[in-house]
Amino acid sequence: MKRYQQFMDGVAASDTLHRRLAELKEPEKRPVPWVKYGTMAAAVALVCGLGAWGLGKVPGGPGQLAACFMPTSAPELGGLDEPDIATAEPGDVTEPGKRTLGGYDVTGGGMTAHYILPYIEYGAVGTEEPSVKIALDWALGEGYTEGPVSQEEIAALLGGEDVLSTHLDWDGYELFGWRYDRADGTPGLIMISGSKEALDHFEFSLMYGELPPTCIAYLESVEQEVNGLTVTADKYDGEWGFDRRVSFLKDGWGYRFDVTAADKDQAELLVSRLVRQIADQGITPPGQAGSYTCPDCGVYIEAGVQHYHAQDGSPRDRGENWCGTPGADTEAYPSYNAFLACRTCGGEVPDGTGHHCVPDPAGGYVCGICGEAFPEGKVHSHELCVLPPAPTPGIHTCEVCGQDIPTGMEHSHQENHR
Amino acid sequence: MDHSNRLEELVNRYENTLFRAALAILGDVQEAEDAVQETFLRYLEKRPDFRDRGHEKAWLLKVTANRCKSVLRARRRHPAVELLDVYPVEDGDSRELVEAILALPANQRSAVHLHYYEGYTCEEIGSILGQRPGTVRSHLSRAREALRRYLLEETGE
Repeated sequence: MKRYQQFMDGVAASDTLHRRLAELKEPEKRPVPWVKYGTMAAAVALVCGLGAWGLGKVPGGPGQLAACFMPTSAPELGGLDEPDIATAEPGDVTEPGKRTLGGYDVTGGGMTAHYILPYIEYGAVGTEEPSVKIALDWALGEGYTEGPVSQEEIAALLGGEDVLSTHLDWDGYELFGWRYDRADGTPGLIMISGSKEALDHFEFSLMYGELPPTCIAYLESVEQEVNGLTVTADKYDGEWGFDRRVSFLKDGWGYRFDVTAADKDQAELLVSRLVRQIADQGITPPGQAGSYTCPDCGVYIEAGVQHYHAQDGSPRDRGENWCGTPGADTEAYPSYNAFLACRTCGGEVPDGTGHHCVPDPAGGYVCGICGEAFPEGKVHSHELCVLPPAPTPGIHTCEVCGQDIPTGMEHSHQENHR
Repeated sequence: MDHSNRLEELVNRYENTLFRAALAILGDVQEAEDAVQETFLRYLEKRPDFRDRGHEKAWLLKVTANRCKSVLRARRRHPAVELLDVYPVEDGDSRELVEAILALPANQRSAVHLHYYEGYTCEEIGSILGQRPGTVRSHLSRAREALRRYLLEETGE
């Protein structure tokens, strides 16, 4: 960051700014927010009156206010260390002439751009259009198994109960979740629904590798960059409430969030909160949230260790078969056996850490899986093997060299035989 | 020392610091100047007594950051004048780096500036920006990812 430091060292306040600052005068006093403290004053007056009539319990005799009704201090306009501009989400502030949303001033109306919550532009389709939503039908492929997602698992997926209440503002929503896992046990689709009132509900769906299916298509979507994500946003304002939707991809997962609310700002606030949370923190995919015992095989899995079942049903975790050598980029993909395979050689590696083929003492590199040797400095042509959805167990024989390779671990020898 | 003299002392000591921070967050010279002016107005309004220089600087930066948040909330357009037109950089690599930093989201820019230029820790930055330290670390991590190419070129980064 030296160059950035050098750049900033060359930035200085202009003479004009310096003059403006030097000529600043103390601003006029703000009026005391009597709306906030008027009720306290009224309560004090009431107690004084009750005391005079002998109705209040007043230690020390008539004329003395009960200690519990004594104002503790003068109204504060903001602490020294806490400027009274909202920095978090303190909830709405009541002050004459102001309107706030989640603690932020939106007096001018509408949803304003926000330092923490992203501003999202929604597709402009309204009720005057003859048809604004297209009904779709969808179905998952064969082999998916359905199961419930508990409240705890929902919280774990999104980062904890604190996230649900503080960051997503899902307090008051009754949550239900379902998951549809692929035949090999890897996560496919997760759907979380929340409902509060008749017109306040949402559906949050996420799917590994692609956008989740939906039964509604919107016209006139708006695509935009929001907090580093490419987000498609839609809206529909109808007699049944305000619908807002966003769809986006992140880290190999597809997300879709549909909100319906009686209040437009509330709908948009929920959407912005979710987009911010996913962009900022992502999710903890199922199986990584913490230690657990696999319900299928009974193996205890520690937090952070991925666990899947191989084709033959045996458990596998990514701690096995790792050469331990950091290096080339790896990429996770949902192979049938669901292990992380090195982009270069197909070797199994855990959790996205780098992996090189094992260096050969004689020079060059040797693939840790097939033993094939490659010259030093040459990028050999092993490709990531995306195994077919329903692989047939067996052996594949390389047509070039005749070496037996397990099906699904195909790699190319062409460059080595040139 | 009365507050007008105190103000002059603070202006001389921190006007550049606050201006740089505001510029890093907002990317607009005029808005950054307004934010700095608002900060010192807030100082005159509150008349705080600071424990030490560190407290003094952190308080002023916090107010500046809050002011910048308000500006970003209300902003509906990109800055009219390119920052690098006002503060040109001749070196091509440096220009690219500064452009890359200015292209980061505002929250990441803030974290980058306060960490790499002002030298604050994640906890201190969280206090200034009103965020959790974990969130600050996340911003820095994402910023470093986006700036990786430039960071790898610099020794020791």
